Amino acid sequence: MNCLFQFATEFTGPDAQSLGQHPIEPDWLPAEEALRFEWLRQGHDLPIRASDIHITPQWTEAGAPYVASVSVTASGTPSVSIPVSFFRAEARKIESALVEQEKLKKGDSYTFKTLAYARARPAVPPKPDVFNIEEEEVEPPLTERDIDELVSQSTTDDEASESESALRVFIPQSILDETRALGEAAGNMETGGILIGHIHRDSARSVIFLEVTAQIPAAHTSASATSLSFSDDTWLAARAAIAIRNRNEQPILWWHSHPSKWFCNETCPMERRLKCAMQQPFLSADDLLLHRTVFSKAWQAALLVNVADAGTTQTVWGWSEGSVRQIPFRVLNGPITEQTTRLIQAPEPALV
Amino acid sequence: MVMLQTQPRRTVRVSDVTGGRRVSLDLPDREDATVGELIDSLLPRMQSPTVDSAGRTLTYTLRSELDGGARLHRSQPLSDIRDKDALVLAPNIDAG
Repeated sequence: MNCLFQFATEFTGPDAQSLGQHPIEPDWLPAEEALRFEWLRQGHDLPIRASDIHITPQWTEAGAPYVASVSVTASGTPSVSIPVSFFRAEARKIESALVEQEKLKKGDSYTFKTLAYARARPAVPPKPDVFNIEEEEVEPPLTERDIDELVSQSTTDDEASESESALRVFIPQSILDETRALGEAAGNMETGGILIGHIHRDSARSVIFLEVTAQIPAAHTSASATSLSFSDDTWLAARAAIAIRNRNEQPILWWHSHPSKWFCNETCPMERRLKCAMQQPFLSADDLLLHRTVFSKAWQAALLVNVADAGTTQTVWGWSEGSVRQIPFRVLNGPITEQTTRLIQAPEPALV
Repeated sequence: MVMLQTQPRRTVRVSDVTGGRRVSLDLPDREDATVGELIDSLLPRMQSPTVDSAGRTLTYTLRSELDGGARLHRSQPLSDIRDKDALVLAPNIDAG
């Protein structure tokens, strides 16, 4: 990735006091993946190498150095625009540092602007490594399909948002029932797994969509009320299950539960618990990091099963303009077909 | 005359757990080179985060597909890795 600018954030505190400018080193991978996703969506299969990607700030009306958005492009591809909200993650790190330095109090409101300055000299390229590591071009595992085949078999309660989402997700009712049951059965502990299936493209409509076909419970995890630890064995067991099934399936979502009805104090009255912000669906900082670490492709998503006093809800979260947001999904109705299957157990990994 | 025996060059591929990202690399012949050094070199090249949301170091493990998913420990020498092996770089990571 090529970027000739150094980025920074400029903070303003609750009393309009200046809290200084702070250099940031953004995690550009989600922005790069947004470009790759747009390229794929428009029907191009050739992978884009990181070394061919350029990132350039677009200025606000006030002009440089104030950033309104970032343009991500590669030679021969259309560009994508990443909004300034992309830098919120970096701003939160600066906020934590300012709180530690007692320049901000926890919970204080603040505003930040994103700035970019041309680097005085090019960024230092990474040292050549002894392993001669070279990025390989991985062709995305897409199959062409008419999305109407799945739309006609599915329902959604969020048609309004569908047209705004670059990624469409189809999940069978049976799998939603499985994950709901597992989440509720786990009581006051988190639980989770991997959803596997297929990535399709409808080139006539320039749409990429996911079709979930099975759920693999996460094995070899340890859980608490507020965490679920995925070990290396967890991922290997899921890979082994996919290989055994041998149906060209990919890991396309991960899912986990929040036992949020247990987050509230027992003495808190029910009418407050029903509206408590802690019981609303959200992805925590750890959830966002796991998603970034393991499911960083713009066509990968996450399902959250929120077990709350108001009832259990299921929401899907996906990449949008370089950040993770809640996105609509469709429920595939009808009987279980050859494509969709019941809950399977992940096989034990090889003993070492 | 002393005949010098050189090891043939070994190459392996490493992918992430979902197969979306993959690199190829050469394994050096150095006797002191370890799996841990390889992991540390792979992380920035595969754009993998190295700390969690609280700033603690994330741990990654290399697993060998040729050996049925066997775990390679950081202290193991690279000579334990077979030529043409397909390795998987797998994180230990928490959802919250």
